[in-house]
Amino acid sequence: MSVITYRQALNETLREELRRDDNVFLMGEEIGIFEGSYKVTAGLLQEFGAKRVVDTPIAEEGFVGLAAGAAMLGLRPVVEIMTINFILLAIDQVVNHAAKIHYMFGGQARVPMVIRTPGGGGQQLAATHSQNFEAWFAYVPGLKVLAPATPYDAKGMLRSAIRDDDPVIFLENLALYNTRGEVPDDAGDYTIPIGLADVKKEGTDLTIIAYSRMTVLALDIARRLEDEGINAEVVDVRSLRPLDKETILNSVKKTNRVVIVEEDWRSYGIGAEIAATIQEEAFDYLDAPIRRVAGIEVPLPYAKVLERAALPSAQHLLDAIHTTLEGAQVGR
Amino acid sequence: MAEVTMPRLSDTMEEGTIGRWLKQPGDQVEKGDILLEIETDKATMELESYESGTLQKIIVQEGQTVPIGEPIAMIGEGPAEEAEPPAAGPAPEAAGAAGTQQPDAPPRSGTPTEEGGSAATSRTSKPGGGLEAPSGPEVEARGYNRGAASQTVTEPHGNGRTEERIKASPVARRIAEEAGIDLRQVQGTGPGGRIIKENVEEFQQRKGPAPAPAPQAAQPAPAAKPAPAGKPAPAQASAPAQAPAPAPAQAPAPTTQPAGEVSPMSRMRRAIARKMTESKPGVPHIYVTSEIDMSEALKWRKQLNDSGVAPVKISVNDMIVKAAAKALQKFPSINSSYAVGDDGQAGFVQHAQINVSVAIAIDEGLVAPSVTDADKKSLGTIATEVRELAARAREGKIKPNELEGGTFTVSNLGMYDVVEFGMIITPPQAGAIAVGSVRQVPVVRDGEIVVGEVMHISLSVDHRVADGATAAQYLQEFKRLMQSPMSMLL
Repeated sequence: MSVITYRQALNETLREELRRDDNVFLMGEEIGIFEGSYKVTAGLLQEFGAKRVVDTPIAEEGFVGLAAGAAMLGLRPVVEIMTINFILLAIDQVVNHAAKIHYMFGGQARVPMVIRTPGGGGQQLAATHSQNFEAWFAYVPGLKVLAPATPYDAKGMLRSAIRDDDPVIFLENLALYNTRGEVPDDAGDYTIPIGLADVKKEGTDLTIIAYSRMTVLALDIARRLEDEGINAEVVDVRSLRPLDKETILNSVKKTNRVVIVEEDWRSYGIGAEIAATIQEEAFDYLDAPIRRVAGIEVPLPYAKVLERAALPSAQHLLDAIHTTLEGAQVGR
Repeated sequence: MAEVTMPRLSDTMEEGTIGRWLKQPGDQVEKGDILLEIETDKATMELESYESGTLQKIIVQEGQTVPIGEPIAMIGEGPAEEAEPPAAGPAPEAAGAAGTQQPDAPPRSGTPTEEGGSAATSRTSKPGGGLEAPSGPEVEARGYNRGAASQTVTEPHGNGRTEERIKASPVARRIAEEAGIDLRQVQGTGPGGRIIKENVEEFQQRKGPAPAPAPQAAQPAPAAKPAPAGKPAPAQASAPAQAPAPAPAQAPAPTTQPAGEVSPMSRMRRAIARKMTESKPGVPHIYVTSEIDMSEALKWRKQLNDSGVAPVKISVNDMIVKAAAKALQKFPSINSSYAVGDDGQAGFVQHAQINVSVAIAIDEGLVAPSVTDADKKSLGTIATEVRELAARAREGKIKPNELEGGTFTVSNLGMYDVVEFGMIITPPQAGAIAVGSVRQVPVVRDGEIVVGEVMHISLSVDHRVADGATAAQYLQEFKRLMQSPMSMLL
């Protein structure tokens, strides 16, 4: 095992996949010479050349559509959208084309493409550059939406995404790029199947459901709660579409109490979907209302203190957990 | 309407147990009247009412424990709300009790059109009251079912209110339904008094599962007698003495789980176990008493002690311990423990050893260290051990492990001039004998009235694992040993 950053995990995986399969190529703004705004594609232009690491114009709709067409004809494009905020310019290509082609061609064409893109706030990038749109994409049939939280998961899931024959939205988070985690040394070729959640920490008193950066927060809180004698289970959803209901429901059946934490806005969010699923399929196992911790519903402010106040915090999560455990004889 | 809450009666008090309600729903209460007795960690104290009015409702029943600040009753103007049925009462008794519980409820006036007519109309009396609504959990379930809610709302009711909705989490509700627990009897500790899972689980542990709503279990013939006349509860009425074929009886939870392999019980044995637990929560006791002619035993004891061969003086009690143990060899069902097997069904554990616990009164109360393998030990060894245990007990130096492992208890109050008394069995043991004084009384021997020396022995047996006949035969054997003490040596 060695400890690497989330950014390194992505970079290594892209390199390995470019080496493994000649049909894989990368496209995006400033990913070649500049090595990507977040340096995820560092060194790749040098190794693979401009045909396979393609710098595009600032024209998201154009190059996402181009990628969809290339994928239909058998290539495996991996598109980087600099941040998820810019994907809005390409949303017609994603939703109306990439996601539907397989259906509308009666199964005769597939679109094996990946769109990698970071989201998230906390960088003082203000309202238009700090968003989370996972709910928009997780809503669309025909897309697969992944949101790994650790370097290990990032590797295993990016591999699966590139090798999958359907369009995959691969969500990164700006605040995760420098986080570290263990990955196997002789990299091996492990993959993490799409549609599989992961119990990141086992527990008995309640289940914290999270994904992406909020998984890191949830694990941190779960460890702190142990000092209070509260044994929380952390379920990392990882795959937002398809959603691994089984892992979620099994955990709820075990702990009977749930807090869902997400960085995006609360209304109509991923948390709402998970909560609805739980109450539909595990109602008789609930011992307390399901609670959601999410971002405050405002365009994210630029001012540091306001930005911090608007994003879900450790304190928000702790409060929700304590409320959810009210009356139960655990901890304290 | 004012809430009566669990008061803080001492600095260290965190929760209190309702000892006894001195006022019943419907009773008029004046400020300063004693409402109830509350048991705390320190003492039992009376609580005066801070309000005047009618005791509307008792929220927390006798025996239940709640944290300070929790509402325990409501006082207000007007007639009482529905009474909650007494905790843990099976349906027929509950109906009877509810009917008589509130004779003092003021007659209602001005509401002649309302159904019921009496403020004391309780849920449990509804089936007899002509309403079609089912009682108990089904009504509660409907309260939650939005689809059927309109039926609930339009349902006429004694005081014009709709059925009170019990706050319980879904998982608590499910567990209660599966275990046949009436949620009205469970105290909720969740937000706003919501009943949560652990409340139901604790209740279940404390009380053992309630009788199934409609027991289809095999019933032993004598137990299948008709429900009390007049007010048959629905559950009883729907369970006539059928052919014993269907589901096995619900196993009552044992108070303590003994070690060892659990052997299955017969179907009838399980039905008896369930019935007995219904009638007396915890361990259902039976008591059988016998009179022992002690003349031989006393003579023999004197010989032994005079001879100087015994290591210490042999007491009557030592002989009783020995005889009790020896008799248990022949009646292993009394030297056993009620238990629940891996399949959740009632069973029993037969103990390989016969270890007799000897109750020793000490200043703080009582301890009962055990003499292991008492059936195999000589009288002298038993006498030595008991003497030594008693000495250490008085010094407070009994080790915890010496208090465990007993399989049967002997308690002797002979020195206090008692004729006889009944012992409460110490779970998971299944038997205990209570020893009275040896008394000089006129007895008839060979047709002559002479002065005899007799002792009364009362045997308590866990009725789940053994019956009166076995208990009586055990006492016969015990009596034989005591009346011909030489046979103890065999």
